[in-house]
Amino acid sequence: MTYTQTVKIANFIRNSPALSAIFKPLARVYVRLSGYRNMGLRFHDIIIEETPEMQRAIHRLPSDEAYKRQFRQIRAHQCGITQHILPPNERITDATDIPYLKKNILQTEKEAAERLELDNIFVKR
Amino acid sequence: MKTPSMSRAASTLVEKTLLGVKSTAIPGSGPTSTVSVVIRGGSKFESASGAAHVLERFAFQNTAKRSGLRLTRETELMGGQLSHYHDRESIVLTAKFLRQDLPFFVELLGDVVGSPSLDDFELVETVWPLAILESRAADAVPSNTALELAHSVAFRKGLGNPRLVDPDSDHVSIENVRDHFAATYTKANIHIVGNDVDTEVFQQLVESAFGSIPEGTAVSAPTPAAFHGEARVKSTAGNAFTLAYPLIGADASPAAAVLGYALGGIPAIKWATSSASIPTGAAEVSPFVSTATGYASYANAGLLHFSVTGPYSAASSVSAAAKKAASVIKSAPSSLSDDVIKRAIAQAKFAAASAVDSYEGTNWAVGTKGLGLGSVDTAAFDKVTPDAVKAVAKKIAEATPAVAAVGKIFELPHTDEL
Repeated sequence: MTYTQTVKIANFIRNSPALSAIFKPLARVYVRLSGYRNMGLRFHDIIIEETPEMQRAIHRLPSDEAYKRQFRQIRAHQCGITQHILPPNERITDATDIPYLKKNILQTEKEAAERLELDNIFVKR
Repeated sequence: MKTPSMSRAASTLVEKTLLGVKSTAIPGSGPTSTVSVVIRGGSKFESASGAAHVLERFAFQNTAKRSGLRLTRETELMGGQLSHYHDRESIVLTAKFLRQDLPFFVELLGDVVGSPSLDDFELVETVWPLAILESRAADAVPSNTALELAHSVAFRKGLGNPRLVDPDSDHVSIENVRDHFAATYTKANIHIVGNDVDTEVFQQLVESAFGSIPEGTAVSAPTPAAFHGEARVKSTAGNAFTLAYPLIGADASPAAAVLGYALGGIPAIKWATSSASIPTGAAEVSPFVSTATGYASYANAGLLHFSVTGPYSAASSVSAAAKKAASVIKSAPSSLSDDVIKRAIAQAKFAAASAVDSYEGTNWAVGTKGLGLGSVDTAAFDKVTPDAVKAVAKKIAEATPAVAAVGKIFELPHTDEL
């Protein structure tokens, strides 16, 4: 499933009060239990990045954003090695878990989809 | 068969300004049409070095309406060709296509000129690598580098701005490019030329495609002024030695171009040497040394340049040929015969006419003329007299040239040694 599809599903859930009522508390529990925030990571730091689209999206980050992303990842590795989690004031919260790659991923996935479409286009003349 | 374009263009072109957009239609009924957008926005007018080159390279990339990929693929499907280039004074975007596709391509050009995305990532991912590639390719030819340096010495600002980006510099920033775009891609600075089109249809399409771009004001560059001096750059790609004479105002006339042909000539047969004095002199020195003479014509200015080039190992031959060329230029006022000048007028007229005798060439000539930039007027060569050419020769013989030496600079001569 591409990130674009995920975003579409998320928007569908957000627009429906009934679905929101079910999924939002579930999502909160999921995020808390997965624990990445305790290691100082944002959700967008742990999306699988070994795809051409993600590579391009990361490459398009401004240099300071890219540096901060690397810093968070190295810090999380350090936490992993030393079997610690960060002190509460350094952990990522709802407010700081920013989807900073959203625009870039949507953009690069759109480009890839367009290329796929144009490569396979059948023109009726 | 096409008739010589300038004469045809002069008799039939239909110029019109609609909603502030200047356009010229050249009617015709051939199978293909060629539409060019000529923009007063070459390197002469840029405020940050390299902005014009990068902006030109941004042509046919993403726009607000479609991506660069879609634009290219659609052109492939329709059967057309998109091209773009820039020089010191103008940026030219051209679409060549089958006659019936006129509406699509005029709309496309309107989109490309009116609403390019100019995104930072495009600059980094596609535009900048191509720009430095182009610049490095040009720098690999010593005579190009020498001519570039000669412009910089002869004019300093404006026309002296480097035509291409400096590949070793920092990026030209996207803000520089956006500034240059905002200043130049405006109604006041563009002229649209449709060649071999249905006049009325073309004008209506231009109106709807370009009607909404900003009004803007005509960009200006520093008034050209002539300087002399010397630039020496080491290179292992070969040797090039250029003597350049900047001409300002009334001096920048077709007579100067004719003088170039009188002294430098063009060979009438491929691989041969012209019988004019500078190439003959060089051929006597060494068969590996070649010469090139040219006259670059700009608005209110021109640069007459004589180059001697040779391989890296032939620096001494290049030096000897350069000294010979300098003495030919110095003795030109007394040695030029009327016969040589008449031959040179014919050569200059042919070269000028042949350069604009294509759809793209005609579009460039009509567009630059419409914008008041340096252009080609074939008819002007008929009015050149031998006396006018001799007057230019006298002026140049007394002037100090702008000199550029590229290659083995410790062997190539200095200006005072010529």
